[in-house]
Amino acid sequence: MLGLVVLSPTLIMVLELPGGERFTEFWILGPGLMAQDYPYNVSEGSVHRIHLCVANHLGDLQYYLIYLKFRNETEAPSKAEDGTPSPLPPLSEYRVFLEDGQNKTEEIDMSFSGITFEADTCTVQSVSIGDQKVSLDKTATWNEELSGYYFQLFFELWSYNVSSNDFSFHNRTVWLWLNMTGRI
Amino acid sequence: MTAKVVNRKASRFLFCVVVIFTVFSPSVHVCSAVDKAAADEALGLAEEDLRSAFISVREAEEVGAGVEGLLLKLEISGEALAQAYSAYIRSDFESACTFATSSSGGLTGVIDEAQMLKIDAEKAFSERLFWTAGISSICLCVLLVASLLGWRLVKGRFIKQVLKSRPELVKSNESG
Repeated sequence: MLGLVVLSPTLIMVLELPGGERFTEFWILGPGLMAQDYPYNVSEGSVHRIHLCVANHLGDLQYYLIYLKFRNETEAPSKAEDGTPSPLPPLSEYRVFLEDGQNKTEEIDMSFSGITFEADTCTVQSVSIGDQKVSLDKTATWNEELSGYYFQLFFELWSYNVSSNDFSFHNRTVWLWLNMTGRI
Repeated sequence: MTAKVVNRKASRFLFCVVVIFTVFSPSVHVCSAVDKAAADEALGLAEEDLRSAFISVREAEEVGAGVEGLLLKLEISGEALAQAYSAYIRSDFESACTFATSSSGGLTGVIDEAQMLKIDAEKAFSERLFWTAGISSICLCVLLVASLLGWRLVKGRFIKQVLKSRPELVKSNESG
């Protein structure tokens, strides 16, 4: 027993002890870095701030790729339950390098322009993310049940796999529903 | 006479410029008049550079090297590459190419630095392991010797006690 105590410094250096659960945290916070005041009713030109956060608990250095995507209610979302990313093209991306136990918060300002309404449809022409304006040209139909024109802004988390030398969908997605009518 | 000398100097200078441009222009990554194919190539190269740099930094980190400075370089290059893709999405191929080139440029020396850090960390680990294992072994030997000596001491005392107590037992038996 005493021998084990004496040898423990060497054993700690040589043996790899099993760690805890390996996972990645991925979440969105509102403008005040709190889980509140998320943008919901969106009107033309108004700037909305959110914070995108990612934390690495995978035990080693990770290279994450985050895609920002935008869809209406009928377009395909990403499905974390069966590991399928959305087939929609990304509007923007973020590349994050995190050591085990580290986290990063990305501040994102967005505003929408070219919002037009016709009959029971709403079309959004473009979105500005930070200082970059991206063309959207997305149309949503009036949602009777929720009384609004709903679009989803969502983020997909991908991670770089060294063995396959490619990024794979990390089964993490976070989103915000945005009502373009400005009405609740 | 003077005009001829000036003309000669000017023509020599022009010749040098043409030679330098001809020799070095293929090796310099040109981003002017960029089309989609050139932007694709620049993005592919930048992507590959960033991946290679990440793999090197990860290997260094795995052996316990301090890679904070290298991570910062990866972050900056990653941001430039993300901007390159954003520009590409907007069909701004020239900006895409410029950002991609900037991303690759920011990674200059990262792989070498990571490899050096990895070698240093491995060396430091080996030294630490040598000293720790050495000290542990010495302590273990001391412990073994002390245990043996202690055992002999205890054993000797026990035997002495047994020997001392035997006549008393005999006496008590005789009296009984």
